[in-house]
Amino acid sequence: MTRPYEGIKIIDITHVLAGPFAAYQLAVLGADVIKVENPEDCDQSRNTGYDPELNRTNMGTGYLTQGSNKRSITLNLKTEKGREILMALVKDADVLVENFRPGAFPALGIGYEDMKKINPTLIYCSMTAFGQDGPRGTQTAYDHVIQALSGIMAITGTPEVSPLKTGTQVIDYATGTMAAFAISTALFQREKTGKGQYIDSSMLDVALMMLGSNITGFLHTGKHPRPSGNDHHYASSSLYETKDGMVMLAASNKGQHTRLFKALGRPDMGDKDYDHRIANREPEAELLKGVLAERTADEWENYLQESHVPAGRVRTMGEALQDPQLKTRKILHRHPEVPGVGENVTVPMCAFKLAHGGPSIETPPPRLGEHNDEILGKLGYAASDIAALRDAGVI
Amino acid sequence: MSRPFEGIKVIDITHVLAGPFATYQLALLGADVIKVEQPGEGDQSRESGPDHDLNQAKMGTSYLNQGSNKRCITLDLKTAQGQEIMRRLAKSADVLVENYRAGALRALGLGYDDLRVHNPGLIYCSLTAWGQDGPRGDHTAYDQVIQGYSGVMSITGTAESGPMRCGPQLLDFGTGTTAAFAIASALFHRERTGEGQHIDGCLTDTAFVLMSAQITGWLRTGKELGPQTTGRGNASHSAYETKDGTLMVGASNRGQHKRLFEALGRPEMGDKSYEYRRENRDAEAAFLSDIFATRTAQEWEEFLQARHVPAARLRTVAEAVNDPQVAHRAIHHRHNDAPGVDGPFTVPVAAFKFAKDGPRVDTPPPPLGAHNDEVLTELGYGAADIAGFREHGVI
Repeated sequence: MTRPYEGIKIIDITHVLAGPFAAYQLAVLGADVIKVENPEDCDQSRNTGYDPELNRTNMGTGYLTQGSNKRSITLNLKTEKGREILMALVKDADVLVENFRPGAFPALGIGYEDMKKINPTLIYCSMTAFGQDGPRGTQTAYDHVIQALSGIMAITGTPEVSPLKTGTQVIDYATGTMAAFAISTALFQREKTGKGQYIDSSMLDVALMMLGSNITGFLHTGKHPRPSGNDHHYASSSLYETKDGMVMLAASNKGQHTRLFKALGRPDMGDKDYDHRIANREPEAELLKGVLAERTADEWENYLQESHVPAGRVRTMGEALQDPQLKTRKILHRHPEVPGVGENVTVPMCAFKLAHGGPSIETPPPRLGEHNDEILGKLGYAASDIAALRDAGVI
Repeated sequence: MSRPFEGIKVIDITHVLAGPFATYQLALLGADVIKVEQPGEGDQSRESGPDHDLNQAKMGTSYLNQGSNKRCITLDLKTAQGQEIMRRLAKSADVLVENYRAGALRALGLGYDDLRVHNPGLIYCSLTAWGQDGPRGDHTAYDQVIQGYSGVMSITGTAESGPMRCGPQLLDFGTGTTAAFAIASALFHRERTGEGQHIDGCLTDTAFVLMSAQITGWLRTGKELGPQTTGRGNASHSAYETKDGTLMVGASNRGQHKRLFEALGRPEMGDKSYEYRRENRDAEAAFLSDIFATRTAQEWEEFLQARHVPAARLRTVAEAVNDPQVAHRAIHHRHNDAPGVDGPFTVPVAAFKFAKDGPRVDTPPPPLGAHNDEVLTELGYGAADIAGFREHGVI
């Protein structure tokens, strides 16, 4: 069985997280992704991560995370020769993804309008903080700046500790996933129309989509969303301390609410209408607080899940990764050996499984410029040309 | 040209957030999405949101948020007749999306293996909390339970606050986007091979993908992570208090670091390696804390952005929505005169733009069962059949 993107060639001129993650998702589904980096100023993610040794050798864990299945070449796009090689690569590519400042690529003569002349069916995806134009079109940002600007931080935490940043780079990953969706949509569209597409994707857009239900509610009622910490306006969907840790409850729909209170020996309190639950939050919360303190978090998790009530003990990331459930999901891939890194590299792959032709990893994250000879050779450059390009700092 | 998914029929048997968001994205891009709900009851999101009147009318803002462009029918899948209608619907469809407990639809004879017999090209997408099988395959959860279970909460908050839930439903949103990507990938694959697909997506996988960078780092070094507050990491990539509010600064790459300190009149402090910055965090942070306290957050945002240094004043959701850039991006669509809702309301659309034939809202979120007659007639049922279904509570 083949994977969806086998035979699809993607030029990936992105750095840091959102862009590389989008290209990574296409690569684990079979695309031939060629990562293009500046020979003098590589993707900064190669210098970031938890292992300082790797940061020094341009193989930081920030890069390894989404570097598998890609090929790597270096190209100085500020040189004419570098741009000429890029155009040769783009000529038979299906997709180009870039995340430079708006206008930077058109200024170099490598914008969408330039490229569609040599490849009219190209799908060109630009990823930025605020979009290609508008009052903030020239501005720049990273994940945490967008978390601050969008209001995500303002609704995270309790009134005492808000604003809080979400621990993960949630905007980067969500933007990467969204761009992967947009690209795959454009590829499907091209199958039917034979036409290329330009995609203008923005991190601010993603943040506001993520706040969707908060915003729809706010714009309708004028009531500001507030940081509510670990409490929900339903007591049965909140966090409680147990004998030894915390348990998160989510007895949300009517069936779950009924089953929760039946399981706790108070069937009279179950199946309340949603508005009634909000009005009677206090007595419900009092009861739950008292009862849940009597046993351990694991005991509650097991007991409630057996009664089909959504509940989970609050874990560290390390504990969660050791949960037996993870072995049945193909989320992690362990590389036996990564050239330039050694053993012991395990990376997340993809958040879904397919019945056939699903995500898989074949090759480890490449070193900077590892595929220069291979790719330039295929474009018709002789060994002597390649040596000259290297001397001139073009690659 | 036409939008990518025009002519694609999607049966949407999902509720709450992740599933409905996935099908919403497809609907904006032209798919004919038929939302299937339990007669009388409906998706629980119809009764959720800050406007209680709308909740009573089963048009709560949580439903409106991702209900546009869909058609709605009611169907009791526990009746033989309801199952028969569903089989007929699935036979005519390209995609089916469901987010019931693993195995629930199979028990009703509506699993992937049942439906593919009559429609081998069907793309069947199942969304759950922990996946279709494994030790937790029959467990249930919502967004906040998996935030607690996966470790997302453990890395959010401060040392004092302990684990904190992230304000937005990031796992629901992430899983919905991932599912939309998986479905688009499967449609693209089918276009080229004719094959159908079963997609198995879950909130837990999404949580681990959202923590990819942390996971790769942790599995490499064994260093367990605490809360990832804004006071960690590089000093130039942190939050600071100003004269009147919080400023988030993201001078991350070498160029930005150089420009930040040049702009602040201390060029000798800029353009440092990532490692040097980690080692000299305190000195950098002390300088930045003092200088940022001298002006307002808005002044700093403008000053730094004008010098291409990523920075933003921390905003509430309400402030963010009113930023002129948001209007420019046309992220939101205003519905006037939608049936079942008094007065106008505004919903988010999509987080990217296409050059042409991209996401667009055409029709408002329908009331429960609004398209029963229309859709059943399309399936070949006569007026008398439909009246019978209604009488027997099948629809």
